[in-house]
Amino acid sequence: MTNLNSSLVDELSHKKLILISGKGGTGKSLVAASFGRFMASRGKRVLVIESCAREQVSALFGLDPTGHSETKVLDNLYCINIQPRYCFEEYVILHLGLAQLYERVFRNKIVKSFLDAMPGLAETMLLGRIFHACQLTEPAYDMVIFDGPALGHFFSLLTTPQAVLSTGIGGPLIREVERVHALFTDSKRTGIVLASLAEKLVMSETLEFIPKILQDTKISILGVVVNRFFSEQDQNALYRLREGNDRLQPVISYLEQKVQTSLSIYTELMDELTQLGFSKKRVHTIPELGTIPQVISLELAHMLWDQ
Amino acid sequence: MQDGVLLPWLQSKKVVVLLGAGGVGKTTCSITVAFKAALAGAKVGLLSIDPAKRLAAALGISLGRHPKRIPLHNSQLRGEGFIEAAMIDQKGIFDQMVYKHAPNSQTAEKIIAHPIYDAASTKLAGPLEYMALAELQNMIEANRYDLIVLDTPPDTHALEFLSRPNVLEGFMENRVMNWLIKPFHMASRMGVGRILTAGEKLMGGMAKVTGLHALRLVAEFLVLIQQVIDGFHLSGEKILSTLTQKSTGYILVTTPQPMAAAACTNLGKQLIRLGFHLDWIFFNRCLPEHLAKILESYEPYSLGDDGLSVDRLHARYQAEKKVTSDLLSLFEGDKSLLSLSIDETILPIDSETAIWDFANSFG
Repeated sequence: MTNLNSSLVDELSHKKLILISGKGGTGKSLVAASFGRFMASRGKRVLVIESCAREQVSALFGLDPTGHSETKVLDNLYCINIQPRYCFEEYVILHLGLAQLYERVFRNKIVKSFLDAMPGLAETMLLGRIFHACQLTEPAYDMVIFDGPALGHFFSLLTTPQAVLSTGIGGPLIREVERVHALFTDSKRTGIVLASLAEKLVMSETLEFIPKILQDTKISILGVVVNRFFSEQDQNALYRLREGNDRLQPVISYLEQKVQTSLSIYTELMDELTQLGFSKKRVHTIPELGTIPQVISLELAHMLWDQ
Repeated sequence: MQDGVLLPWLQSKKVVVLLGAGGVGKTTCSITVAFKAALAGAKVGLLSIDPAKRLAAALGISLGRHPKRIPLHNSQLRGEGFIEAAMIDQKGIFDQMVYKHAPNSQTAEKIIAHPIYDAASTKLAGPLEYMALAELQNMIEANRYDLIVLDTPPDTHALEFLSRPNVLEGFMENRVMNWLIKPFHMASRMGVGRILTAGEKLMGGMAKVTGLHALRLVAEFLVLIQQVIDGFHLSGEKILSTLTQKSTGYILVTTPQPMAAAACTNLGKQLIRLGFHLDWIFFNRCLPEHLAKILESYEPYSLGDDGLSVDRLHARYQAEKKVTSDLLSLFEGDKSLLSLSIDETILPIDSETAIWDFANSFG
């Protein structure tokens, strides 16, 4: 919320780290991948991160699953699917200089057991790896975009490290947690974007998370992206179509109803955000496209994000 | 797609499990399936994960593992039909398990008061699915219901629990407990300076990462919780037996969109690979039938610029057709697969009336 007049896209463009979340099915991966593509076309060196069992970002970039390896999509654009298990390995070897220890001591199953048994360890590893991508990778990324899990899991992920500190974890992990915290809570560098739909239940749950996130994580929320949106332009066009298109009347009515809902949810969103202290410019809408191509093209990225 | 088949099928089952990706309407479908069965006179138990808050409030489903009667207002409600619903609360259930299986109440108290209990119980409890199954078992044993409907959490951790419901995630290798942590714990309790176990290097290495104090805490906790874990193992056997019976049915919920369909494909294949039977695919949020007919013969771009949203709707229709038929082809090798499509609703489903309307609209 540094500049009341800047749009969401403007705000995002200046960030080092963008964390994306939203309810299931709201288009998080689409937002992450398309914005990454858009920024890369603007000359930024971008890494898009996901951390999941079934990769979606790599698919949207037209790649086979990439796994835990920074994979080039195009000039300036990379993606990776971070696996906590490999983070731990990297951490022990790279940060602690304990390569020999790792070879001799840590084996696959054991690592998994520890990651499972030690509360917060896997989350800390994931967040630490994101930190690494932002601050320690050479050559440096201008922007890192994290296609995060759905709202509930996202919230747990972000609050885990602080909880972990309170359980007595010490040594190098404290430093890890602290530097992650410093980066994430630095609103000049890091911000959260929430994806939503113009649907009542989806929007209300999204809005409920905003104060929670602000309070418990202290990470700045940059704004909301509303997907599958119908606009006033659509409304005007539909009005003009009413004449002479009798057979299509049910379709036109249906779409007009969609517009009504979209616009009324949008208004409610604006009111809520204003009450929470956000500028209205922090809402970005993405139109209902009917269908998304399997792979995000440059044209599509521009259509979604050009202002 | 099959009409009029859903209700008889529900009436032939004791347990129905709904699976699907996030955002496809799985929870709403679970509630609706329960309503349909209750309307026809069944005594239904409903176990739900995180229903939309408004829906929960409207139906009086509160957070808590004890099933609560949902007040139903439908003049066509037959016979003794009712629904008792509970929402799965991971922490609450784990607390119960601790009290149930700990050797005595002091140990139970120690566990719950332990500094890492809060953080660890989410890991120890494993995926929410596991807890759902434990509660399912409770509901079955209560013998109150003709049908139990289980709404599972969204798919990310898939169906590991189905293959190994007797394994408590977080302690994948019980051996870790025995040959590594226990001796470590005993040694540190005895105040021995060096750790005198075979796992010395490992624990030493781990301590370099987490610090020794944290490691000791975890070890202590694991030792305390050993008997609770053993109790879980026993429940697991029973749960597996319930899941594999013919009287347990599986419904995959999806929307006719590529990303949800990919998740559905993944879940469906896993289900089959694990030896379970995929009974239904629900295609939720479909374009309404009457519009599909019109769009079928619509010529894209024929309306000029003003027709953009119509063109896009047409594109959506085409894409949905393809996704649906691809998904069905994939699973229709099994001739007994059933499917139905559910039209998207205009109004949000956030009240009892809305659920009744929704229930009437399909099946």
